[in-house]
Amino acid sequence: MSDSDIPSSTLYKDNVDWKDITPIYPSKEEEVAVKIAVTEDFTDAFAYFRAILIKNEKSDRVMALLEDCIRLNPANYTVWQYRRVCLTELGWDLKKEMRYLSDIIQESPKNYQVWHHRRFIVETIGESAVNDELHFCSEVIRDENKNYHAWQHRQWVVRTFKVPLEKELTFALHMLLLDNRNNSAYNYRYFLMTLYDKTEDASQLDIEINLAKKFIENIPNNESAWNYLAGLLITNGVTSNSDVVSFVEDLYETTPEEKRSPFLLAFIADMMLENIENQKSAEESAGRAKKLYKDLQSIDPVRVNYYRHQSLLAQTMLIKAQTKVTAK
Amino acid sequence: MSFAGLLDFARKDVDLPQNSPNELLKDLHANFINQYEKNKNSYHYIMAEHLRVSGIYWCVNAMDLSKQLERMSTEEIVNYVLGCRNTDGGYGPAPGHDSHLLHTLCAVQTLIIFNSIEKADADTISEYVKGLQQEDGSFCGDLSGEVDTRFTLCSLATCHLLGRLSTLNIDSAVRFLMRCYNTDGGFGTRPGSESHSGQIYCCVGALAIAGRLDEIDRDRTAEWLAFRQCDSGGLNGRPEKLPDVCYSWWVLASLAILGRLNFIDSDAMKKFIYACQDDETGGFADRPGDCADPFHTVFGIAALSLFGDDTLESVDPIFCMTKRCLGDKQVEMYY
Ligand SMILES: [Zn+2]
Repeated sequence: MSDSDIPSSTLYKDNVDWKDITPIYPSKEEEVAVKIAVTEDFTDAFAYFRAILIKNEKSDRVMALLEDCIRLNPANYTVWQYRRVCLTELGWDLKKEMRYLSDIIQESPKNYQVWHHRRFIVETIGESAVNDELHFCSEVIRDENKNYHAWQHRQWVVRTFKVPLEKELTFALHMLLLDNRNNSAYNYRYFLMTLYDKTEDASQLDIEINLAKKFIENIPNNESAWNYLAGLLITNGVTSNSDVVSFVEDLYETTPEEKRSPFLLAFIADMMLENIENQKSAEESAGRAKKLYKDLQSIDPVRVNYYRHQSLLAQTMLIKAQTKVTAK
Repeated sequence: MSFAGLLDFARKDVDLPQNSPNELLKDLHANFINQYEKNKNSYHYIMAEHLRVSGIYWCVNAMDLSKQLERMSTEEIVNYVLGCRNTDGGYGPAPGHDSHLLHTLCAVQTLIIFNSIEKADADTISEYVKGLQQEDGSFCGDLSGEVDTRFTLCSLATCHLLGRLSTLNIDSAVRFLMRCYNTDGGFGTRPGSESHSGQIYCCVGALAIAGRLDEIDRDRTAEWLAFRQCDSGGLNGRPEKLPDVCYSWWVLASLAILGRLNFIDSDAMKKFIYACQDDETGGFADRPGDCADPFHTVFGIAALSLFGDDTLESVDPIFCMTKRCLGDKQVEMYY
C-alpha cells in the first residue's frame, strides 16, 4: 500500500492541533542511561502520550495519538489500557474498533496485547459479536493454520459464549481435511471434548477414534494423528480398544515393509510394552518390541538413542514381569 | 536424507548448506555481543525499549557462558537494570516502563550474573510476584491480565533465586500447571492450549523448582520432545514446524531436566546449531542463512553447553545461567 510509505503523521510538536499540550520528554538521566537513540517520532509521540495521561484527556485526537503509539510499540500495555478507558468514555464505535484491530492483527498476529484488547471489545459487545468473531478466527487460521493466538482466542469465544459443540467440531474437521497434519486442529477437538464433558463419552470417543484412523489411513506418517489416537486411549491404555488393535495390526500387515511409518511401528511397540506390563504374553511381546525398536533405528536414525532406551525398557519390564510371576 | 525421508512425507525441515560452519566460532560471538553493547546503532532489534532488560540478560548471559563476562561494563549495566525498578517492586524493560514478570526475572538473573543481587530488595520483588498469582494458581505477566504458563516459570524462578519460594502458593501453582498438561505429554500456555516446546520447558522447569516433577509421566513428555528432532538435526517447537535454534534450547533443557538428554542425536544437533552461526558477523540465527541476533545467540551457546563443551561454562538447564554464577542456588534433581 502506498500510504504506508508516507509517515502517517508529522511530529506532534509541529502540529498546531496539539499546541495546547506541553510534551513530557524523558529526563536527562533516563536518556543517558538508555544511551540509545530511539527514532524521533517515537520520542515525540510518547512525550505527548505522557502529557495526555497526566491531563487525563479523552478525545478523538487522543485516539489518533494512541494509534500512533501502538504502531510504534504494540507491546506497551499502558497505551492499550488507556485506549480502553477512552473507548468506554467516548462511546466509541466498537465495530470500527474491531476493524482497526483486524488490521493490526494482520500486521502483528503474535502480539498478545492486540488479542487481549479484542477480547475486551467482544466482551463489551456481547453475544451479538460471536458470529463475526468466529469468522475472524477462521480467517486468521485459514491464513496460518497453526496460529496459536487465533486458536486460543477461538477457545475463549466458545467457552465464554457456549458456542454449540457440533458447529465447532465441524470447523475443526474442516481444518483437518485441509491439512491432515494440523496438530492445532486435533488439539482443538480434544479441547471441545473436555469443555463439553465428552472425554469419557463412548460414542464421542468412537467418533474421534474413527476420525484418527481415517487420517492415519490417508497419511500413515502423521505424528499428530497418531498422538491424537494414543491420547484418546490414555485412560485405559493403547491396547484397551480391540478395534484399534486390529486396525493397527492390519495396517502393519498390509503395508510393504519399506513403507511402514515410524509412528506405526512405535505405536505397536507401545502396545507391546503395555502387554508386558499386563503380563500378556510378556516374553513374546518383549521380543516383538525389541525387534520393532531395532527396525526403527534404521528407518528413523535421528532417534536411535531414544529407540535404544526403549528397547532396554522393554527388557527391564520383562524381567520385572517375570520376577513378579515367580514370586506368586 | 534418511530412509524415512524417502517415504511420502513432507516432515517440514531445512537443508544445511554445504559450506556451513562446522565448529563453534566462539570469539566471533563474543565480538557480536560486544558490538550490541558498545555500538548504539546496532541496538535496533532486541534493544528496542520494550525488550531491553531481557535483551541485556541475553547478551550478558551469552558472554558469561562464553567465559567473556569481563568484557561487559558491569557497573553501567547493573545501574541500568536497577533503574528499571518500579515502586510496585517489579522491573520494567526500561526505566519508566511498567513492570512485567519477564523483565523482573531477567533483572534478577542479570544481577546474579554480576554477583550484585544484594543490591535488589528480595522482599519487595517477591511481594510483587506474589501479587500476580491468581486464585486458580496461575500467574499474570503484568496488570493487563495475560495468563501464561511462561509466567509460572518466571515467578517460581524469580522467587527461588531470591530465596523466597515460600512467598508463593506452590500447591495451587502446580495444580494450575497440571491443568495445562495434555494427553500427548506436553504442556500449553493455558488449560486446553496446544502443546509447545517452549511451554513444556516452562512447565517442566517450574515443576522442577517446586520439586514436583513426579506429577508427570516423564517418559511420555520426553518421547514427545524426542520427536521434535528433524532429519536436519534441528529441533522444532511443534509437529510440522520448521526447526529453530531457540527450540534447541527449550527442548534440550527440558530433556536435561527430565534426565533424558540422551534421547537426542547430539552430533546431528550440534551440526545444525553450528550451521546457524554467521561466520562473518558472529552470532546465531534461528536457522541457517537467516540474520543473527542475540536471542538466538544465547540459546545456541546454551544448547551447546548442555552437551558439554570445554570452551564454555557449564549451563544450568532450569535457569539458563552458568552453574558457576548460580552456586548453591541450583535445584537438586533426582531422576
Ligand atoms: Zn527462534
